[in-house]
Amino acid sequence: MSELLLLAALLIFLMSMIFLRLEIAFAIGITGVIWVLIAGEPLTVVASRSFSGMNSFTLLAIPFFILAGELMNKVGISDTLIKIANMSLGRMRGGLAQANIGSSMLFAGISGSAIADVAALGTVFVPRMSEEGFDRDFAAAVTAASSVIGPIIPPSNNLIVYGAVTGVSIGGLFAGAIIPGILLGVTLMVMVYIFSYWEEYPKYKPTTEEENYPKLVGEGVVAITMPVIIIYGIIGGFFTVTEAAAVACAYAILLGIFLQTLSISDLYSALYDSLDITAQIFTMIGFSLILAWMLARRNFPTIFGQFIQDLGVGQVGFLLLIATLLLFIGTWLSITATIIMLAPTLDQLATALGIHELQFGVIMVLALGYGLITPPLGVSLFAVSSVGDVKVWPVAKRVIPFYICFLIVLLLVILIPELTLYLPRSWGLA
Amino acid sequence: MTLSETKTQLADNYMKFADLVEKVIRNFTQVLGFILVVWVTTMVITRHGFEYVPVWGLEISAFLMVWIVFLLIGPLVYTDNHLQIKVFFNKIPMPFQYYFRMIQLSGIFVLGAILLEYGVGYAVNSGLNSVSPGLGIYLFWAYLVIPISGCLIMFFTVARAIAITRDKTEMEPKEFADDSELNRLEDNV
Amino acid sequence: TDLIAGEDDEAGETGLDGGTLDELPEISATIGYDAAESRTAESHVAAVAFQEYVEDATDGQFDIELASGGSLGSDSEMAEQIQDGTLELQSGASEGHLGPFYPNFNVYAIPFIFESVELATHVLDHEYGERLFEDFRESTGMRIIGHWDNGGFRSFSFNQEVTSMEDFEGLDIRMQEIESHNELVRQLGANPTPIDWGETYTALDQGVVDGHDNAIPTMLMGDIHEVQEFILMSQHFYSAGHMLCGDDWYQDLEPLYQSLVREASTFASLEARRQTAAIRETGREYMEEQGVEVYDPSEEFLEELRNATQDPVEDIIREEVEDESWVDDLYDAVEESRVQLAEEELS
Ligand code: NA
Ligand code: NA
Repeated sequence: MSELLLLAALLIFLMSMIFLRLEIAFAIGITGVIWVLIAGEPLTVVASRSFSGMNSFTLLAIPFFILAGELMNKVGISDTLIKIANMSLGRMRGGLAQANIGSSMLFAGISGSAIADVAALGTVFVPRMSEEGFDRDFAAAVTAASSVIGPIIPPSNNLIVYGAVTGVSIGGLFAGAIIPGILLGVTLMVMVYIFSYWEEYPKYKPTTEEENYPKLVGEGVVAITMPVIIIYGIIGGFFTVTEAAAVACAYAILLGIFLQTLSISDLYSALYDSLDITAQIFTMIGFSLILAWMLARRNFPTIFGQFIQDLGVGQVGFLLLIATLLLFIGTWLSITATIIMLAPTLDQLATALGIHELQFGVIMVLALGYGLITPPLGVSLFAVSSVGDVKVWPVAKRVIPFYICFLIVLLLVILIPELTLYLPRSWGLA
Repeated sequence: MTLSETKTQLADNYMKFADLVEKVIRNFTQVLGFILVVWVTTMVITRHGFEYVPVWGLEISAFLMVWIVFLLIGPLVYTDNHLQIKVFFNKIPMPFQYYFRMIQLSGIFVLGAILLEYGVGYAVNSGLNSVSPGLGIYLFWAYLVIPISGCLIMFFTVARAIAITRDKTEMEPKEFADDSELNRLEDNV
Repeated sequence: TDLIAGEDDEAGETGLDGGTLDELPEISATIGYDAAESRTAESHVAAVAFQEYVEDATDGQFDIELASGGSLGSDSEMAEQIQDGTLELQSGASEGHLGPFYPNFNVYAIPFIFESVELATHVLDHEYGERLFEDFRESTGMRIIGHWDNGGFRSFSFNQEVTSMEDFEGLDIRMQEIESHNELVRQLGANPTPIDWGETYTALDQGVVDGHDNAIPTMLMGDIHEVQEFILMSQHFYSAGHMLCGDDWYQDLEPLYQSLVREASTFASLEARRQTAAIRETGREYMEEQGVEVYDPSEEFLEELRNATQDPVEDIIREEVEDESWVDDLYDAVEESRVQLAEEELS
């Protein structure tokens, strides 16, 4: 019992430190050190566990996919994706809004993160949409909402971190997240269609210059090749997930050289940014292993497992409970940090209840992703408010209907395991 | 020179040195990072083209990454780039912000000291007692980065403390529109 | 004393009914292991047997906690923790995990040196094994208190038929990052390919590599049968699981607890061996039911495999061990055990 009280006290300490802006990685590390000291364990574990947490070949996919995303931006692929979306989806009612969502889905295939999406697409779409008569808050809301798709459709840094800290197959997680990701996009498009009909938003009219189809098709092929290389390369057995990420970087660099759009300084700054972010993530993973080690050493996995068994809520009950918890936590904490801290334990509990590890992983990443658009801390809301020059709260209000749709998608993914398991199974990844 | 002048000058020199060290580490890790990308891609190519991958191929990639990360932990404290939540903190009145921050930096400093002392112990006791299966080198060479990282964390924490002591606005949030700030948040995804 | 086969004289003297237990302190220790809490995983079976034995004998006064699923770290990392006293006990560390700490464990990797699991455990239970483990203790500060076969021998799995030497030509085979293992595959004309175990299932399924090697129970645990067509029962490397504790920790125990640890680990080893013996058989049957062809190579083919690999791999091992006598002595010990086992069979 006193052990549980200690754990609760440490948790409160950890949370208050994080909210008092102590770097999340150090909040995790210092809490771990305190526990080690209280328990009288040797401090060597601080050194050995943090090293071990970072020492993983699979984790290498993270810097590579971030780098690939950054490079593709610099090379100019994002512009092409936007053009493709405009020319196709743009002709529907509420054209630019649809194109906005479509671009996010295409973009999701090369980038592992949501903020890159908002930064790249928000600057283009929010001003253009308001010029064409869309409500500016609505434009920003669509941009923010569609950014949630990016980290679900593979490649996804969150899924890589999830796979790395739990040992679940990353290829399998990628495959499992495709249908839920597309489902998010489609639901969003339907909602936007309804709104556009209501508010009589315009269709997109391409300029004559844009209607240079041969050039567009050529650029389109080049842009789409990257996600195809990644997905087909993994499923077709040419390389592992980590290698796919490295190949994606190499492809982007070669493309940049070929199209003469990538300078040495671009390469330098892309590498700089990706190492920067990677170091942040890895530091959290490393230090969190100290806590994980203490949990195992104090026999908490068994205690938690027993607790869940005693609750007797069953699979769906457990998933609903956890999803609610994650929706709440995702509002306050970084997704990566939450995955790093909670995924290993939750994954064990879920599989002990007979829930498929791929389904659970996708649910966890999905639920946490909604935190991106939940006020007051939703990062995508902030990002879009800054790149689109709008206020956070009015945008948040316009996001509500989309958020409700997303909740329905989450519910479907919880109730229908096939949504996550069909593709991994048919590709032999589960 | 008065005492306060000497102090100012010492601090000046410390900050200049910190800038220099940060730059050196950034450049060094950039080079390592570039090698890493090239290396992993090369492994894919040699496996398909020449049906050969050295037995230590995976291991050296993972070690390179660990070195990069451990070296960057300190510089990220200095440039305030670690992921952190500032929203609530910014609501605290100014002098308290400063005190909180100084207490936190002391905590980080202690963590650095632990990594230094126990990192040395770990590198020597465990690292010299086992070799890495792939490369066949003493794990000491991989673990060595832990105490180095501890040193750098302590060094840069002091630099950070000097920076916010001299200019309290250093703690305030920068303009969100700044592109680098967005990049910083990127991992929040 | 003999680790398993011999009788334990000290335990007989102290006994557990002597009433001394009450005077001893309450203590607690953790066994770490990489396997999940599954009845089919021998390192879990061993850990549970150890726990039950110790806790029953002391009525819970000597408390044993289990830390499964690698929650304390990988096998090599747990061995490090044993070494520096952060962890008390470990179950299931293989020779591959211990080799980095003690190069003489590379002798296990002489291919085709034992023709049966009984022979291998016999060698390690007797004089050669005792000497090796004692030398290991002196050199690393870790004490081996039990061992069992890690599911028998490593054999090859493939996504195609491999029934002759020529069939190996040009295949990409996922191997552990161990030089002698890689050399074996090279000598067969195939390409050793290092793939993280976490990515191996996918790599085999997608054809990134054509095959890999592992013991049958390990393949089962990794669901390898789902993605492979063919298993060649080459049985090339013997693979063992060891139960370890820190020597300092052990030396600091009360004599009564020490003897209890020895008895419990002997019991645990026997339980683990029983488990692997069962699963070696049922595992094979199960895989065949699942449509995997499990192929026993002919005597001639085996001979070819041995001739092609044993000497070159042994050369590498001779370079790796501290003293080549460990290799020579192993051949002698195998011969001796062979004779003894044959005699036991007769009587
Ligand atoms: Na993505
Ligand atoms: Na969008």
